[in-house]
Amino acid sequence: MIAVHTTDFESREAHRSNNDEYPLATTDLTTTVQLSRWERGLAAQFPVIGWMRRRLALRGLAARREDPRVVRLVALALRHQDERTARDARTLLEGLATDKARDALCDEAIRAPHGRAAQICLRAGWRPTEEERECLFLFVTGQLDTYFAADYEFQNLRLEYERADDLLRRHILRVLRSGDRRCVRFFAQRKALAECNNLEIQVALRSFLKHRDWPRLFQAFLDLPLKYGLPVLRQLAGSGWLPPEPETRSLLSQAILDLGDLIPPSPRSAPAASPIFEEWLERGRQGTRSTRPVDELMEELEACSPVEGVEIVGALASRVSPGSEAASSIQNHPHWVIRLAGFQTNICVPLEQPELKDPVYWVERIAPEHPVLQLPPGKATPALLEALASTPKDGWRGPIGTARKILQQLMAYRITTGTFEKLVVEANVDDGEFELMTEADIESPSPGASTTP
Amino acid sequence: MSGRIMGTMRTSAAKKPQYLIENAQDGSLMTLVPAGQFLAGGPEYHEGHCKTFVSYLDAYYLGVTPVTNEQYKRFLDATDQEPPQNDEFGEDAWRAEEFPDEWAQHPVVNVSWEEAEAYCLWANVRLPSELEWEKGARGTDGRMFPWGSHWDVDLCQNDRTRGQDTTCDVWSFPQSASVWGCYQMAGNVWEWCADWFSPGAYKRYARGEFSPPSSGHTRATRGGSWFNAVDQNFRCAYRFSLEPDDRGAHYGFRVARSA
Repeated sequence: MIAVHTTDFESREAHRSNNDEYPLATTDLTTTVQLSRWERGLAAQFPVIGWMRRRLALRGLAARREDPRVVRLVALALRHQDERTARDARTLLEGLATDKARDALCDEAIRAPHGRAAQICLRAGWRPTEEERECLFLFVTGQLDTYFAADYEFQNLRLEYERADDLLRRHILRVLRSGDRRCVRFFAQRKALAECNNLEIQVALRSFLKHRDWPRLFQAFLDLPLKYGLPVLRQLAGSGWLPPEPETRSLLSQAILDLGDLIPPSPRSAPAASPIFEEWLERGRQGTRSTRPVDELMEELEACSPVEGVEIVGALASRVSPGSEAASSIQNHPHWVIRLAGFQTNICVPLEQPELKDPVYWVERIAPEHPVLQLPPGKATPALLEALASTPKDGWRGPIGTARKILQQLMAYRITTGTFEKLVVEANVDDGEFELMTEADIESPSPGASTTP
Repeated sequence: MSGRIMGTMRTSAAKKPQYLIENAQDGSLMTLVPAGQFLAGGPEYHEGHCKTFVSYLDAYYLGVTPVTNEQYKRFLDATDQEPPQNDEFGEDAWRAEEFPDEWAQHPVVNVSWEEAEAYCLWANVRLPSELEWEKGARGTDGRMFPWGSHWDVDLCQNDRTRGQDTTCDVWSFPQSASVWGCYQMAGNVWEWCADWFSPGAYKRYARGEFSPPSSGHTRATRGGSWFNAVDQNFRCAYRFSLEPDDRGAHYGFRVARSA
């Protein structure tokens, strides 16, 4: 058995198991030539010599099994027609100790969600360490409850879908068409980044940064409030990337120049959220009110209960601009939860005020971390720009003053240039039309076949 | 001088409290009153007859509004308790176990302290202590009324402005919500507190002895009602009391819970 032949290496290295910093010095020695020799060895078919070559190949692979490239090769052997070879490969993979190796095996599982690599991962409870891959893994392997708890609005899955090849897209679409009602929303148009909640925005920004997706980061800078925009701007400044269009290039250059050595003012410590309050807002965003005319909702807001009022504000969130009459009514509403809803949905942004004053502690405490950092530039209106411009001299000093300058540029640009294209990732519904696959279609190709799609 | 109220209040270090919660059992909306010091009491006889003193309370939740008829009906439907009965004056909203729809959001009245306690037991909440009620109404700065330090007859349901009405909707007078967002901490109904009433309790508190009275004949009530007309009755520090089995068309309650 392979496991027996590899015990020396295992025993030497066993104490290092589960160590993320597992040294891959041995990997460096694993040359492409060796890998291709082992690959050929695994594919050997001759009755006796073939068995010997496979065994030798597996022994060599076992000694380097924590190398992701080796994991991929051994995973191919899982479906070898020789049962013993397949069993030895499985034993070897079940003993993987490092995150990198397990990630590689999870990648194999993602490519063949019903394959044996996936079975090993599921049995051992291994998941990719990377957030997006983890979501993809959970999704294609059908662990939907866990998936929906980990991903928001298909944020991670969409990013993976965008980067996926045809085979992977087929796996994703197969699950999407599985009949689970929660999956239906994948086909709806994705929310614009500015409409996402904090968690979703953080996930997206992390992903853009990881993939050095500067155009999207720049778009995020243009769309998101400066509390997100300033750290993004700093990343853009460090990248040296500039947009191709002269207008946006000069906008970014100027913003970077203004940024200087500014350390973005840190927002207040985040207060604990109120799930019930969020639920009311969400009910408004999703419910029947979201399609009713603004005037009608504003009329209803005058005489409703506070809870209904929060729902109405939720329904108005994407349709009312700060500085408008409706926004002013919400900001001055007698019920404090309605005022709070106005601030939480960025309908109410009192830019001209240095600090918000409200008789109710929770409105003052929770609502604006700082209006300048909170306002999505996409909500800019001439009236709001005017309010910003009328900030007293002192307001242009210090970190908030710098942020105010950058916001002013962004707002002016948005107003004069018009709207930007939203960050939208759409799943092409036509892509979903595919034939039913057999398990064999889905499984990885057998050894000897090409390993790259 | 500061002290710590001993008793049932505990703050969980592991779980960060939310600022607004809904109690699942009875649907009460409750707002967080953060842990910290506040000014309590006052020199007037009914305010404790002591200097205004600094007290400390751990974080707790207090009902945003008094308990409504609608909520109380849920309690009656789930238990074999008697519906509110009118022992005194005022209009009786309840007929058997029903009340007119337009009274659904009015505070339940004609409930004794004992019945309020039974409700709290059912709803997994409790009545606020006197100091909790006072901090909920007064904030931390020792203001006289929930909305500030000046009496305004139009900011609460009282005998001078109510006309022919008795109680009003619990969401009325939103502009006079307390600093923590509690509605009607002045006016509409007197609210039962958990504590026995002792005239000398606040003097002890002012000396730093914060244990609540262990016995008494009456229970503390706070806040003033639609039946009162004198501004003193509506002061946050104004202390009043009733026998635990008293009922009246101007006595209600709101709930509290430790955070």
